[in-house]
Amino acid sequence: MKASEQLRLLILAVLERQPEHGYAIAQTINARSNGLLTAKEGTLYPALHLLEAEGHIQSQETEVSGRTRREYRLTSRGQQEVSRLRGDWTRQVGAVRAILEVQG
Amino acid sequence: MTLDEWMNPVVAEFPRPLQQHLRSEYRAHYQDHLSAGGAEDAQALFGDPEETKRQLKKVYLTQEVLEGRPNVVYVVVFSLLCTYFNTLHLYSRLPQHAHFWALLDLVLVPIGAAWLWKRTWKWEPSRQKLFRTLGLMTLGMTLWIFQPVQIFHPLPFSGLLFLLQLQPWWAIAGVIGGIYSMFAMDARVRRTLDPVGWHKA
Repeated sequence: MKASEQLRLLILAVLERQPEHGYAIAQTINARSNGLLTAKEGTLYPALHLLEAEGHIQSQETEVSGRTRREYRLTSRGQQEVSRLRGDWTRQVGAVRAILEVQG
Repeated sequence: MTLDEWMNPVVAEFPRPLQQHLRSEYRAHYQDHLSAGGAEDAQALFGDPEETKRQLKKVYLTQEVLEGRPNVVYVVVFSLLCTYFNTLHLYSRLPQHAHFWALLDLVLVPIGAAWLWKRTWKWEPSRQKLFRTLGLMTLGMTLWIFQPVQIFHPLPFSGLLFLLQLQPWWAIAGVIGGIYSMFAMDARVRRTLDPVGWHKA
């Protein structure tokens, strides 16, 4: 899976739980992976906008702590996409693990 | 690097409404980062501005592309007319069985062009120009489907000339690709011109 697809999967997986704004998405990815994975924060927004253009997520402006933020939420199409990407990822990890276990 | 120093080269090539939209999102992100006790260096937070710009160009069109070269549509119209009149000129020399397909081609092009003009009549000028240009190029492809060279030489070719035999298939693929790119490009134009409300248009 390419880095750009990984970022898509990470974003969609975060939004699967609840709608979030950009900064919160980056922080969640960082926190859940104990800092091992980081969303490249500059390229987070192009990825979000592309996912929105493809209909996988949708956004609207909301007030968060008195500040205006654009909140992103998963669509039903996005739900299908996250399932597909998760399946791809699981297969790849399983294949790599099988090889490593044989060699180990 | 300050936030403005990071953002200016990232958004500079895009139209103003999109610039404002992008600036407001990055500024909000940066404010949240500072509020959480993060460092002020925008490059350390957002990474390489060139990479971000490259990624944004996959989603949006630059001002330069939107404005385009004003003479492109005339070049496309000219080449389309040349091919059209070439087919018209050769029509009487075609074998009887080819008349139907050539006639279909000759009728399809003006009807397609009229549809393009009518559909885009009230559109924003840059959106109109890009859609018409791609539409005319796609119509040009339809003329190649039944070009006389294919009709006059239906026998197998040898060597690299076999590519000529595939001509209708290339042309059909070109037409399908052309139609797809017309609407994909139009969606990018709409997103670029109205980054917030494009999907409602």
